[in-house]
Amino acid sequence: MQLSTVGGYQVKYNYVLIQLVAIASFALTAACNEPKEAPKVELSVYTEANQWSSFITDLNYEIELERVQLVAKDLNFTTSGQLHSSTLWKEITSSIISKVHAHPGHSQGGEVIGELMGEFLFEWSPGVRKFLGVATLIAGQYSAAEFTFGYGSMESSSSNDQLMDHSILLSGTATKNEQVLSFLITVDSPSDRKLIGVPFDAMVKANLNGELVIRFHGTDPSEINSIFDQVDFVVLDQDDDSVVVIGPDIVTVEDTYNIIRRSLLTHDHYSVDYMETKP
Amino acid sequence: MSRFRFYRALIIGSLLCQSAACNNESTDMGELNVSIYGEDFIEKGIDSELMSDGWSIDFERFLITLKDIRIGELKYASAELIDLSVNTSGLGQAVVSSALSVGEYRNPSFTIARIELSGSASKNNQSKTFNWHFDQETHYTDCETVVPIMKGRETKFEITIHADHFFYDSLVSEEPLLKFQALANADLDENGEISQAELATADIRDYDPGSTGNVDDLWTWLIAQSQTLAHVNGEGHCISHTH
Repeated sequence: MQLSTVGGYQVKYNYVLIQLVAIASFALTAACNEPKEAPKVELSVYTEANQWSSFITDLNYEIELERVQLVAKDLNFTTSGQLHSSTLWKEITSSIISKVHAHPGHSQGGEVIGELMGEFLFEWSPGVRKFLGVATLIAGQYSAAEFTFGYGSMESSSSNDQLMDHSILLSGTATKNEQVLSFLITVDSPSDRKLIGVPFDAMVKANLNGELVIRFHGTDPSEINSIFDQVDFVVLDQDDDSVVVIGPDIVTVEDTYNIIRRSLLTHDHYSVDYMETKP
Repeated sequence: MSRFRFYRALIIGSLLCQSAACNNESTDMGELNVSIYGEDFIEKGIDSELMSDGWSIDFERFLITLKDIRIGELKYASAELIDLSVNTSGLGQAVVSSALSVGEYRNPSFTIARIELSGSASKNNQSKTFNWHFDQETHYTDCETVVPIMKGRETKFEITIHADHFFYDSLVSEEPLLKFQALANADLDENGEISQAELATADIRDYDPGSTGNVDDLWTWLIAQSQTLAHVNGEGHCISHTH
């Protein structure tokens, strides 16, 4: 047996070289080939109202939301880092306006490693907890969720005629100087518009026992902007009946509609939380 | 052959063999010709039939400052100022030529350091002029194309500028509409010129800035669109970012 000295230790040349061949071969093969698939986890997904229903706008209106409904399709969960998934080791960039794919419409999100496909009616009303389905996720670090806005139909909105052909519905009251106005707002999303970058910061491990909860935030948790900033409800109540109706086809409130729509189509007002299931 | 030499040869052979599986290069040379082209949109204008609101656009100047082109061994740092409004009949304008080793080069990158455009828009008896410049450097990387260099052959690599993006009504839609009316409406002093200051105070109204938001006025909107203009070989996409 041929022996030599490496770093003060006697080693077997052929043993070291075989190891080197094996390591080099494995490293290069791993760089070119797909790794093994990571374990999958199934988690129930709900929409649930939280401490969201009351907030104050920049014009000092006290808002009480009574109902928020949103028609959504194809919920995806994404990672922004590297993941040992069934595709490839892949570095994904985040979706901020200063770092974008140089063409509209192309994916600005991370790598999709979890999903709940189908059409859903998200519902956030006090006391309402709505089951949407069971999502399948690959174990890993998650950073965001995304979904596509849909439109109310007989299937998605059940008996709610007010959401028919619209994407989002909000109702509630706005109070200022003891004047209370009720509002009903409907919003249409552009066709096949995706909402990406919904915060979902969670490490999903195999054998996890919990659930995912999609939340709506009337006030952006990070920037403290509300969905009704710049909206002056008293001015909008032109017939003084204390009811404000805002929608895509109402020309007199077009500017306000655009402002509200823009807010509701940003990811600032949504989040997904992983919650441990209570025993 | 001693056992040591055998194993050394085995290691080197294994590394070379598997590297060759990922790369495809040799020492032979070919010619790469880099050009830039603003399409008919810049050279001839955007016809009213392509716009959803009946406006038509003509560019008097469309100056691009291009630098830091990187394709394989080619690293061309010089800044080139090119007026894309010059009619090239579809050929584009030459930027740089270089001999490169034979191989297939992926993920080319380049930087648009400045854009300056002026021109006019017309609809019926209305006319508006614009003279805008965008100074923020935009880096385009990981462009989705393969540049094949073949022995003794010339290969063309075109940086294609899509000026119509300035008139998109969405930052995220796959099928945005081309509109000018909102920009025309921003001419609040009605002097016929749409200024940067006027655009900075004009709400984007029904334009869709996407999930991130943070784009509320039309000048910020145009800045965002200016960072999406460059493509490669027509429709090849790149990842763009600014610092």
